[in-house]
Amino acid sequence: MKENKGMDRREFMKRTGATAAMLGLFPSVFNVARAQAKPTADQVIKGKDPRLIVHNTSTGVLETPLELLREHEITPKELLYVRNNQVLAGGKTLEPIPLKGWFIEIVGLVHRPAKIEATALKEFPQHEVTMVLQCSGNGRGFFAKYSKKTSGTQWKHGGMGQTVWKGPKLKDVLEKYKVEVYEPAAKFLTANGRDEPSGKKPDFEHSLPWTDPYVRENAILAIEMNGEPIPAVHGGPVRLIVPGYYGTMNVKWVGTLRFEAHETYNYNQIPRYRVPLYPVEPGKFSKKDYTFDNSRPNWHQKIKAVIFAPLDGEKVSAGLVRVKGVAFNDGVVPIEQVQVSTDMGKTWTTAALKPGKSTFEWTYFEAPLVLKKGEVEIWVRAVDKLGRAQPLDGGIHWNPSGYEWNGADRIKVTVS
Amino acid sequence: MKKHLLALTAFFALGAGLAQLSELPPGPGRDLAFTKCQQCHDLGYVLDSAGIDRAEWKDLIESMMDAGLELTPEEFAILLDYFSTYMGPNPPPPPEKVEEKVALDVKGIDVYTKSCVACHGKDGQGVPGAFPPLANNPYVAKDRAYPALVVLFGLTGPIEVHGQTYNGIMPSFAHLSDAEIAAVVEFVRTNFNAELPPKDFKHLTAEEIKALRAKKLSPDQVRAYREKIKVK
Repeated sequence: MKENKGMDRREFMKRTGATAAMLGLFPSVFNVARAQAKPTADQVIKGKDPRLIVHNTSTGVLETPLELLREHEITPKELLYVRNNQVLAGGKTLEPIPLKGWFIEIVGLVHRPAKIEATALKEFPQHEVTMVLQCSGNGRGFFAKYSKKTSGTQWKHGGMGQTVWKGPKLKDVLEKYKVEVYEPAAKFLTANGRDEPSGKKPDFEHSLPWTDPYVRENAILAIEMNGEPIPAVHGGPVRLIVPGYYGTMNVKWVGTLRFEAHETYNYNQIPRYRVPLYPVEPGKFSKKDYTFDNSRPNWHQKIKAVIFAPLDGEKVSAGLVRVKGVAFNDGVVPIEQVQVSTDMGKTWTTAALKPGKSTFEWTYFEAPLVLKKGEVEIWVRAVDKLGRAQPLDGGIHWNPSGYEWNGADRIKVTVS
Repeated sequence: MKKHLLALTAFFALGAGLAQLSELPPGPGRDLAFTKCQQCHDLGYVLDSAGIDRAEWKDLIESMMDAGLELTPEEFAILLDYFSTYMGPNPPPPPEKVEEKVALDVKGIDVYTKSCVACHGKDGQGVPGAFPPLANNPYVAKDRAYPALVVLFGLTGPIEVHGQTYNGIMPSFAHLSDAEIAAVVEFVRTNFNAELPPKDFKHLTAEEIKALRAKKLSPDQVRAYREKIKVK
């Protein structure tokens, strides 16, 4: 650095005196144009469809409008939502990252910790699963509508998609490398990606319950999404996939897997990405009130139905109207019933269901309704075989960060 | 308990018809919000939260401090007052026409201290690998429009400075007035790059900034512009 560094105001004024004089020539008051051109999704993440809703450009947070989401049984990579807290360097693209040179360490409460190059994952029996991938903040915007607004990205329903993942099961990898987990001391699987936080932010990682058979039996070290190497922005080359769990727990860019006696104290495990165990009054419980005992992480997805057609605010013709959409849960049991009401929940009709091949997929529903002219509210709620149903008022599950919205879907249409 | 909850739910539903904000509303503290929030994320996240009450803004700012945001107690108070007043549940109505008096005796050093120093450092040295240096930076020195375009429209995508690659996001600082942008670019070019002035060095004027502002480039286009600048 030369001697010109530093901020000597006198020196600076001497050098820029000419500028100051010129500035004096302009009128003293004028309007300041403040409009900033907002980048489109394809500019935020290379390869994405420009019609996606941009929530955040710096890490890349994109939502899929329902009119695009409903067009595909498997959400194409160009349309799939994105929610990143931090990004792998060079990761804001749909291009893949090579498996070669990518290492995964398995450590913690285990005999024989292992370090595996990702190329080895191709040698295992491959498991493929089609499943709903959903941000745990999906629907946060509805808390503002039906309860009390919470901070954060105001997602509607488009923070989800249906995706296909393929790779070896984690349990097969553990067995092959003789990584023996200390039972029953190891209660949690903590996954950390190779992405690095900016500035002084804590790193992003999550713990999943190793005591849950849906983690032990189903966890995949995925190397493919929708039949191709995983796009970088969606967590490639290796992403931890646990069907039925909220998206955030499907940790991207897996670098380290730790078996632990306690879930991580990381800021992204507590107070972020948690909900209270018991109902709390809106505004009377804050993020600071979370303890490990009074709350749980965003693990199993709650049951939810989303109307794909008609869309909220749409104009439809009087007569026969087919209400269509999808329902899903954590995949533990199938969806039993989807009910539709046009009289604010007084009476319900049952929709026809078309389940997916596995319980982790969308179950499509369709209900023919005869609508009369006027403004009509259409309510839809799902019930699964365990009797778990959506609350009519989703605001009842208000929580300070607005996670896990699963209120009955309510839309308003104009019938003419 | 349940009845109470439902009553509260209904009460809050009344205040829910908030218009979606597209930019930070005017008010004391706005410039600080621009500078502090955009160090890690763009303003979408902040705008999305408009309408929450003071306790929640406090919670939100504190959670950002848990995530690495550095604020003095004074700055914390300014931001909390600004957000809970102008982006709270009952914000004052926006002024009919935004006509702001812009001081013309702006000092580049003041703008730099307010808006740039947090990332680029007090000597323009930057942070290797994270925020590129502005000092002795031939791109900044060589082309007078380029640094102004970066300030106006931001810059994304990989760039190289002195052999080091940077792949961050420079946010747009279009909220600064033309005079402020002219002054801060001048400050950076003359104070941190005195060794590198081109032969035809000319000072930037607010009027030129106004013309550049009208170009409405994307951050990618700014990077494309950068790639055309020939530096030795």
